[in-house]
Amino acid sequence: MDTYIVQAFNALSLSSILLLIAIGLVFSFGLMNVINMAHGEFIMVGAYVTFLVQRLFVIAFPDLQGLYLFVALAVAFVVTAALGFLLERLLIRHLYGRPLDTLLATWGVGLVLQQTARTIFGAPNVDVTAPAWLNGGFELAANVLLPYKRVFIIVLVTLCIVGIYVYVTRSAPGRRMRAVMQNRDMASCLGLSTARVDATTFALGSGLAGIAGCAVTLLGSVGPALGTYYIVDAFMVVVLGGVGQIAGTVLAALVIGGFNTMFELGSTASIGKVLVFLLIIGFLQWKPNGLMALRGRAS
Amino acid sequence: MLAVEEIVAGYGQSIVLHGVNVSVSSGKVACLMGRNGVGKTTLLKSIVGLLPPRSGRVLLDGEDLSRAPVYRRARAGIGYVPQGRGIFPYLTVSENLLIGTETGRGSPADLAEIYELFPVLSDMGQRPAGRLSGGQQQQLAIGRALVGRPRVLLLDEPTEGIQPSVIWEIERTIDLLRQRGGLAILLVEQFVDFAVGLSDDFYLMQGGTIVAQGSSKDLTEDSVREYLAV
Repeated sequence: MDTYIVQAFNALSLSSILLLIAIGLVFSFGLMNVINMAHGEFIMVGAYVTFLVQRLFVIAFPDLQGLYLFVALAVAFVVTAALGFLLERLLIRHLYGRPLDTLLATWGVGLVLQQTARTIFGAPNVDVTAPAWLNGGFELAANVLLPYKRVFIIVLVTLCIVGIYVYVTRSAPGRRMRAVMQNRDMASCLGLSTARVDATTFALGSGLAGIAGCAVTLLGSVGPALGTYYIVDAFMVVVLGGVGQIAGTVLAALVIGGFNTMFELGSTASIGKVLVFLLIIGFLQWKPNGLMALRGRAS
Repeated sequence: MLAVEEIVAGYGQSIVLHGVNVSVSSGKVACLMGRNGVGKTTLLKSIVGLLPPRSGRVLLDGEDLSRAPVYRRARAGIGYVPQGRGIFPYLTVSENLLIGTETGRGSPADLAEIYELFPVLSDMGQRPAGRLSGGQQQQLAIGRALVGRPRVLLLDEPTEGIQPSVIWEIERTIDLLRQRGGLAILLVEQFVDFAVGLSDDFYLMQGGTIVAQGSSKDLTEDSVREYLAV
């Protein structure tokens, strides 16, 4: 029984990271029909930024080391958002309406980013030392320990999702984003600069990948290929969730994270992945639009 | 005032408009009529910029907008109510109207004015626009264009597929806007009585050119039969 509680908790923290990554993909796919294969590398960039910030704190502010994580979160967001902005402005913008070309081009960008990381930081993984206050965990029962690191990730993601929800549904930039998603031509006919909305949204989605990158440093070491580990699952979340709905993405992340952990428990990691894939394929045969598709009288 | 000069436009290899000239003065309503496929909607798309013309000019109060991107034309004061209404179905009614203020010419405070103009919308502010009836969506689309305080309003078949009571309401609104002045209205319409009753001037289109034009009160039965009867 104890194992199951710990596993369920692990599943929840994995789901929450997948969710953070998938939201960025949902933005770029739902808004621009762009499949950004470099999204995983933004996670990696976020993780290396965290590594650098931590190093900086060790050297420059040894007394404040416990706080490096918050600074790293902010810096990782800003750096990856800026990278995403540049990618959209310099490359993706010129390839709108050509999904296959964008796919290949962003994949190429991803490889370049990976090799850049390898050149700068070397091929071996580096480790980020978590702040001391995140060591240990809640002891629910004798053998049930919920690590603070994972609690922190869940809280962080919850805050991000609430923030995104408020941004999308209540703010003016969020309203513009939804308008462009629903009818791009009409939005521009009403005076919206769709190019600006695209770039902003893309930057925001990339920034979220950066935050995810910062969070995963709490779970393991950082390497140039870090992003590839998460990106496939994140794409599955997008497909399963249905495009354009935050609620669907949340649900899909929970389902995939949950099944991943559950199947791994009963078999090996690879078999677990295969079973998850089969389940998703089966589900999409039944409901091709994913868990939650937009409904209503479209004009 | 809106002036369209010698517009040539089309899709891919085919040219739809062969040098069209249309002008509408501020405070006037001009109607553009013609059978299906003569290029009426294409002309409106060239004016708003969705289909950039190959040659010719679009002038708004003398300012040449022919090369301006779509959103700049909207900000310059071109308001557009497309065929099929083009509302944002998953945005609420009030959010649809707020997007209308993105022209930077109106303000969110002007929403009250639109609700006054179309009282049926005022109770539905928080409803998704996609749930509205066709007639309500049409009124929303007109309101959304007006809240951006345009100098020119382009209406593409506002009566299409709409019940008579709403048509009457739209007619009343267009008339009110004309009386208020300051707005040039170009109305594309197949419903001849509606169009002629509302407009000051008419343009008849066939095969991508204007074949007749003049004051609406002078529109003869003969030209209606020749260019509009099916």
